[in-house]
Amino acid sequence: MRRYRRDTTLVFSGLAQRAARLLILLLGVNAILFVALGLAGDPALMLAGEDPTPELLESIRAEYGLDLPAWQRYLVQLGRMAQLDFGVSLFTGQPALAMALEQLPGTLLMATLSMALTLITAIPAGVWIGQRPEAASRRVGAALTAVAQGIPGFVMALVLIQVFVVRLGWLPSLGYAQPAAWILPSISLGFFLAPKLCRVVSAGVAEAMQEDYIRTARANGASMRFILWREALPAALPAAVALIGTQFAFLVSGVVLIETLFLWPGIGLLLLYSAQNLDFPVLQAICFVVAVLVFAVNSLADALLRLMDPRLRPTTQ
Amino acid sequence: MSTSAALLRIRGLCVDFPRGGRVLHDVSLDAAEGETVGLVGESGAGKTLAALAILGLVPAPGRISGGQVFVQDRELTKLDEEALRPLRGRLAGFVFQDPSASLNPVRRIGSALVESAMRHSGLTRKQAREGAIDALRSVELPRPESAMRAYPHQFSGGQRQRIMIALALINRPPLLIADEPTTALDAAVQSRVLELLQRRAKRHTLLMITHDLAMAARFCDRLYVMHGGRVVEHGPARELFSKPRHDYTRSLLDALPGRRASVTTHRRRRKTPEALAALRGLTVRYRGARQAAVEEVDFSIHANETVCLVGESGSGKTTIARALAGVIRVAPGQLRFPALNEEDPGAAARARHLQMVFQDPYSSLNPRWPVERIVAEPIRTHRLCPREEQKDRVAALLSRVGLDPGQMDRRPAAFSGGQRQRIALARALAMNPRLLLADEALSALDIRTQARILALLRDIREERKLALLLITHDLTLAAEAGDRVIVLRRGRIVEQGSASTVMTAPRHEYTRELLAAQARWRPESG
Repeated sequence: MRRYRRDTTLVFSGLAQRAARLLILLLGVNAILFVALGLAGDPALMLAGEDPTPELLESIRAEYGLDLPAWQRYLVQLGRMAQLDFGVSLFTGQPALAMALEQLPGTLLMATLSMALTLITAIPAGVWIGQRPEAASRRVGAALTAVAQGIPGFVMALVLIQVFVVRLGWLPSLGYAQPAAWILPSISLGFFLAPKLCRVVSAGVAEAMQEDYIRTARANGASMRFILWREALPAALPAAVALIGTQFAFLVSGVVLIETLFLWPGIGLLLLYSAQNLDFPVLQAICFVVAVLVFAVNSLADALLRLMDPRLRPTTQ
Repeated sequence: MSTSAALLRIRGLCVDFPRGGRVLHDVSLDAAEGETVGLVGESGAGKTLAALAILGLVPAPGRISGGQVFVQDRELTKLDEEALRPLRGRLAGFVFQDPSASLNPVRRIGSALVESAMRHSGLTRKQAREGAIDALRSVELPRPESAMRAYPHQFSGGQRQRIMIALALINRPPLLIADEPTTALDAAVQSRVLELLQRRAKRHTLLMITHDLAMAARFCDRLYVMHGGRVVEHGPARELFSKPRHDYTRSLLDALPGRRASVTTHRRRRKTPEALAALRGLTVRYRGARQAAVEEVDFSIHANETVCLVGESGSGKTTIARALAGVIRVAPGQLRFPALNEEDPGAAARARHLQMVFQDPYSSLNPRWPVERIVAEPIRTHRLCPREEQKDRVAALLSRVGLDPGQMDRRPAAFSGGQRQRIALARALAMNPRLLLADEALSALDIRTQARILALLRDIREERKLALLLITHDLTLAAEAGDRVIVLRRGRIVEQGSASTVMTAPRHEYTRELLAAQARWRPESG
């Protein structure tokens, strides 16, 4: 019998390697953003208001260091970033990173709620469809998820607002303070991932149901319920976790859209305002926070994947 | 024969599939308490289906359309799923063919055993755990406590089959059904697993499903021979073996290695002076491997000669094949093709010189291509003949390997395993090679098909003055097919000589072990 390394070392294995990867990722994000923002426009023009005099523009540029050549600006900014100093917002004067972090809980709340919604709907639905994908009712279910996957999340959000807020008046569309206002944004964001997850789970379950070990379980008297949830689903879950890991970055773009539509006080809304105002320091800080978040979720998914599929674990020997 | 103490009685069992029609016809079978009963036949004969039907496990959309099944005088075909479920694993336990596919890869061994033990029984988790460890101990798995926490892929094939046996026996069923329990295992492991089953069988009634008539004859008290979904003959094993009544049984017996009509092991042939391939101290070490896969191997192959490389998996057989085919690089001078007049022949020249037929006829042919394109591929790549003649060429090759050229526009899925191996052979012959390399090309076939393909290979070799290098783990087959046999172990040649010498007077201990492992389950000669 081959043996594994201890489970703890396995989850944290290659931590140094991961840190190096994160560093490269952050440098890349930063460089791309620097170039992109340089092309986007001159923040001095935004700050100066209407009809600025050349002298005013000069003084603003000097104040924010915008008069330096690009490479110098890049190096200065890089040096500051190494100390987690992203500068202050060009508009509010508050530290940029603090502004971004302040908005984070709102976004995390919505992300958690919608992820929970996604999991409790997509997994049972996927198991139900995958159990006997050839049956007529399951085919309808599978077709519905395919259609749902084709509907963009923001369209779904607009429809939901139209029905539940405008027509029926059952739910508020705005307002972070009352939990009733959390419902629609969470459902809308859930639509970005749930149909895909449902399809991956149903495909995985359907595939597992064809395996010989299902026959073994049946021959041992296992019930259909047991076979589905304890034999087939565990075999299908690694693919689902891998999907969540890779789709998380995509989900962030959904967050921006949904927060904008529902005026949800989160990092996406801040991103939108900062981009409209060319508030470079805040944009840099937001991208930094999001990059770290995406990276953390990916690492978590990887670790989870190795826990779920023992064949991926490194063996000693 | 059948007594009132029969533990298992099957009477006139029929199974229908909505599209395939009736696949089991009026099958009747008895197994007395403590008896070992064999169910033999080629693949597709309905053996597995008959066994699955006992506990209502016929895969959907098939269904039992007639007959009765009694276990301990309890009629089972009338019971519905709910009523059958508690009986599965308690009345009969199953050991399936492929232990690596039959255990869930993402579940621990212990949880599979414990949950099976707790199901439909009043056991606590702790009691079930102790029972599971006992079960693992009883199948002689080393360190059963730590094995409980391990996953299937951490075990070898033989160990996995032991775990399957433990799982089948955990609820102490009176009937144990073993479906080709050793087919997926190495010869040496095979015999150990069979010994274990035999020991366990003393306390159980064992229904053994196999295509290996010889093994069944040794192992079982009584045999049922199935063909085309029917039982064509049954009786005490020895009697059936010595006096087969049904033509089909007779043809199965004739196809056994060593008993085939055209045994030619003693044929001597004059060697042509020029070798087609010569290995001189071939040593291959894969990157990162501590041990060399092949070490200091010397032999050569001449025209019009069949050489067999024999050994268990991991002995380096396939590495040698890969070196010959040029898939892996070898140090200069270790491998020469004297007939090519070149130290290092290019890929094209080598391909024209040497062609391969692979083990798995299912994955070695492109499923999306029609047969014509598959066979024509090398002709086109190497521009062996003008485009207009291509089709005739393919037709000639197909009829040479015994296939109907009229079927050349069909895809591989339309052909059986044996026919696919014929297609692969036609493709190899399209290049007019002088050396043909068959890597376990007969292993996936049942014995009658094996005998036919072997005869075909022999004819083609004679006709084209080919050299044939046959790679196999089956020593008996090697002795029958080869002029010379080379026995490999852990990358080294332990014995080589004429086929008859190696079979009758093996010098190396390992060869004797291999022979003993294979002979144990073969009937005595005569």
